Amino acid sequence: MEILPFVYLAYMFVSFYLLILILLLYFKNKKVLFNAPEFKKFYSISVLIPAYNEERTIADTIKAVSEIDYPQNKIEIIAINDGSKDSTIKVLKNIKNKYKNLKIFDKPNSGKADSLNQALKMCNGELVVVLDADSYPSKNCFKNMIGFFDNPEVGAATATCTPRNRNTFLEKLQVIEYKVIAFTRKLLEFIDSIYVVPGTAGMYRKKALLEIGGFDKRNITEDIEATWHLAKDGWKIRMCLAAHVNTEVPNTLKPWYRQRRRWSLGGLQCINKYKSFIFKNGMFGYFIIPFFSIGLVLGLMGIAIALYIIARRGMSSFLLTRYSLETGVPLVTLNNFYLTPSILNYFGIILFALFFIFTLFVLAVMKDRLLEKQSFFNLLFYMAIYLLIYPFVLITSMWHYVRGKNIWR
Amino acid sequence: MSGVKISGDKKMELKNKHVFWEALILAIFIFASGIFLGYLIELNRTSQIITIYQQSELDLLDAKIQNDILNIGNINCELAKQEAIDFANKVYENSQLLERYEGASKITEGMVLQHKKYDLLRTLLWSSSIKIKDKCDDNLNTIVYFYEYDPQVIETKSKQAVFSKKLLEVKNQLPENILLIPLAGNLDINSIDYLKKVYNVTVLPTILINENIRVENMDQLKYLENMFSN
Repeated sequence: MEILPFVYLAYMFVSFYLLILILLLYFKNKKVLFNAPEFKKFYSISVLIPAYNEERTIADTIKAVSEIDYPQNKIEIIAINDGSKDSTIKVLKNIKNKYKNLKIFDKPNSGKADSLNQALKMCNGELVVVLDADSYPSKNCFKNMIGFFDNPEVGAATATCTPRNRNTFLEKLQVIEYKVIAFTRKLLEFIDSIYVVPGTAGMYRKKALLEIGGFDKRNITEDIEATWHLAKDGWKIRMCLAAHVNTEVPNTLKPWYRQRRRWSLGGLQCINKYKSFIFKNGMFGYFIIPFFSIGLVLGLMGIAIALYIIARRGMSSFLLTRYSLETGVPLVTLNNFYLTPSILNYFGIILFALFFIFTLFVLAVMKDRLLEKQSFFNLLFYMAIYLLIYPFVLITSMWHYVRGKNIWR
Repeated sequence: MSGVKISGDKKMELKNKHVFWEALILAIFIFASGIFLGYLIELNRTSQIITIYQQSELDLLDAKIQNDILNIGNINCELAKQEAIDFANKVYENSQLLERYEGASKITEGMVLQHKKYDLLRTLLWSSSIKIKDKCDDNLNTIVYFYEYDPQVIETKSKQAVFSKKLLEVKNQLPENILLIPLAGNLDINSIDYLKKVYNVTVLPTILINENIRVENMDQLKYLENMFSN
């Protein structure tokens, strides 16, 4: 008996299991999926907006925060210019007088995590919102999230992030991706397993952030690290699908690749940092770390199997061509066109079909108007090509990680 | 204050407390059903092969009886030769289907057994063809193709694919004069192992032509047609 079919079946089983887990969570909780928690009071909120070379977008971000449906006297906006080389600081100074609650914190470049930590010391809100300088919260965003913090166990909450720019092919693919991520993240909330409060828009209890010592400067995805740290210490993380934040997403492959590599690298750093907590500290050790690690192993295993098969087929085709030319036999005969699928082929097709239906289902549940606009080709490309690029990103990330290149760019 | 009342954390915890086990049980159930279905598909393919094999077995028996009847008087060489070639062609077609099903067989081992049975049937055909040639001194050519079953080395696999194509080409050129008998040389079948020793077949794949010429490499394969044109 060959080993490969069993490895393949194990791979399929884990994928089936995770899909069923997500679907079960959905059916058990679908009535409350889009609910926003009732809140007892308007918390004072400090909105921290770290900016490095964001002259193009920061003014709109601050404008979006100022237009939020929330008592403006309860909001403090701190725009942090992290030593930008463009005219970010100039833009900020120009708009300063328009917003009474806007504070500008101009500092030499020291990275996002350090900028946030410094700003954390000077902010006054009970809650801290970390907002990327190219993200735009919806009007009801804060109101829909603050109710979570009535529960003193909640340390952080996040919202539905969706791409603002939706024109190019790559952007449209990211719309599908962000919707699927938001949907699954919300479902993971029901088992206390949200593994990231994305830097795009995260609301934190200031006390919780201070308790964990702020953001880890050594981790290039400070948002993942902070979420893991909070979860490890027993803080609950929540998500509101009814709160929206639009964000700029990469519109060309190069920045897209860099962003994904950074995410993967940050994930690897987190696994390494918290590996000793596996099967400890509740859902953090029993689900978040294994879930992340299994994702990593599945990705690597998938690519290893695929490369092995491709290499064997390639070598076989090469030799077959060479021998055929040497002996003058035809390269292709009718027999080559007979297809007799094996059980593994059937499993693969069924799994692909299930994930395809799942993606369609998610887009429908998320009431995405783009569902009509998204062509069948986009969805197919997303499933068959886009998702397959991830394991390659993972490999390059691992390579960078091993070489110690844990840098932003 | 606005907003819809959300279910309490405790309520949420209770509702989702067993979700991991539920998902595991469901996944095992669905997965096991899939495996079982795959097993049934493979079993069905095996039973198809068994039915075809039984028919082939009957055909061979029929041919042998006809020969025996004919042997009471003088052997009808033309008829015996035709029977052998027709039978070989039929078994060859069946073996193509068997090969495809074997390639797709991942969880059951039934196909290997069928393969062995087919190889024995073909060995029987070969020995029968030797007798026909002895008695008839006819222009019947036998090509016995010893190949490796389920080769793991890519080079062997590619080589065998080319050998097979070449043999089919030669067979198609002289359909009435060539008896093509492929035999797996690594399935631990005693009679085949014995024949390999007798005809000094030491490497796989090897083509044995008329029980005396061995073709083991690409250079010889190139001139395979010439061996029959003389």
